[in-house]
Amino acid sequence: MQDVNVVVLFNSGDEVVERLALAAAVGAVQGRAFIRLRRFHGTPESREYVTPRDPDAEWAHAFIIGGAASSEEARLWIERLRMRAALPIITLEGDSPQAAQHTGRVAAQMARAAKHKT
Amino acid sequence: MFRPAGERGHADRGWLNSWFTFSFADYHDPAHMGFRALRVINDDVIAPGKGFGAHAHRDMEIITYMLSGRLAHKDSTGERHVIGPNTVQAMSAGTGIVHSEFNASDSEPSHSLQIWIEPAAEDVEPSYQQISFSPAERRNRFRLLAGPVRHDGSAVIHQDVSVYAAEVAPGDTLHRTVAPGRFAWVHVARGSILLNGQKLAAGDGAAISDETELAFTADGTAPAEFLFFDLA
Repeated sequence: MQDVNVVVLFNSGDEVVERLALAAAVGAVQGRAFIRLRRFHGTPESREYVTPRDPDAEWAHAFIIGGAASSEEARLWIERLRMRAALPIITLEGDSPQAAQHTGRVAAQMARAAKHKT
Repeated sequence: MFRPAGERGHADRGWLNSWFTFSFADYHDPAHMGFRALRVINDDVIAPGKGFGAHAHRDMEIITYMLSGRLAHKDSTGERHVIGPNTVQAMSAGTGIVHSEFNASDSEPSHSLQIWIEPAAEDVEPSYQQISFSPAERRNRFRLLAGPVRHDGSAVIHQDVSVYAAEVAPGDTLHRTVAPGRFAWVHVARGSILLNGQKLAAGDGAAISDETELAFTADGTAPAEFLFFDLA
């Protein structure tokens, strides 16, 4: 039963970071979360992704951040998310898709815990 | 049960014009939640260059049957393809898959049927399959597209459902027997047919629960193309 929402935000035109973000999203789905994938502006255009919007922040029970926060938009988003202290924000580390997938599963668990707390 | 095309759910988002045989997204009708393991038949026309951004599925067998145009597919298993008519894409979402589907053309709309079948088991390994066939292979015969066992180059799905495409020439009749204890669904893709005397036009569907001998006669001057689902 999918009962929690995870938003994966990433900030790179780099295919490796995109692959990690996809792996994290798959991990979150494996953890039975609904997911949204969002890509910040300031990266090469990709029609597969839309940029994050305010309703995404309302919808999420946890966030995964992938790629360096190199754009002003990304920094502002992450800052705003950090102000929502009750919700987990997990940063993708390394370059292993398997590790990113595991992070996604963990994010789903953390989202579930955060949802039950509220 | 007859399911007229005009009574299906409908959503026009500008870039996407969809008709839903069964409940889907914002269209919800408790009387039309699917038939046996068949859960979704979406009749989608996508504007040039537009499509479905990256999104996830879990525990669903997803089959795309192209009627016209081309779709660009990309997914989290690393698959990248462009499919067109006479090609079928079958994706097992299993434990989880993220994919996008876009009209690969910047000038022509794409027209496809997206079919969802509930799998017999959850948590299967996600997979992607693609098959191609010659139009002659479905002409006045049933061409297996997907089923629980690979046969004649078909895709394999995790459910006791066999999906066929058939095209009947004007004036011709195709016959099919539904085995005892089995069910069937018919979806007309193009043209019109007489199914045991019942007229079905493009977009119409019909559930078969009691009849065992089926006769499909092309009704009109053009060939009729339809999908036939053999369901447990």
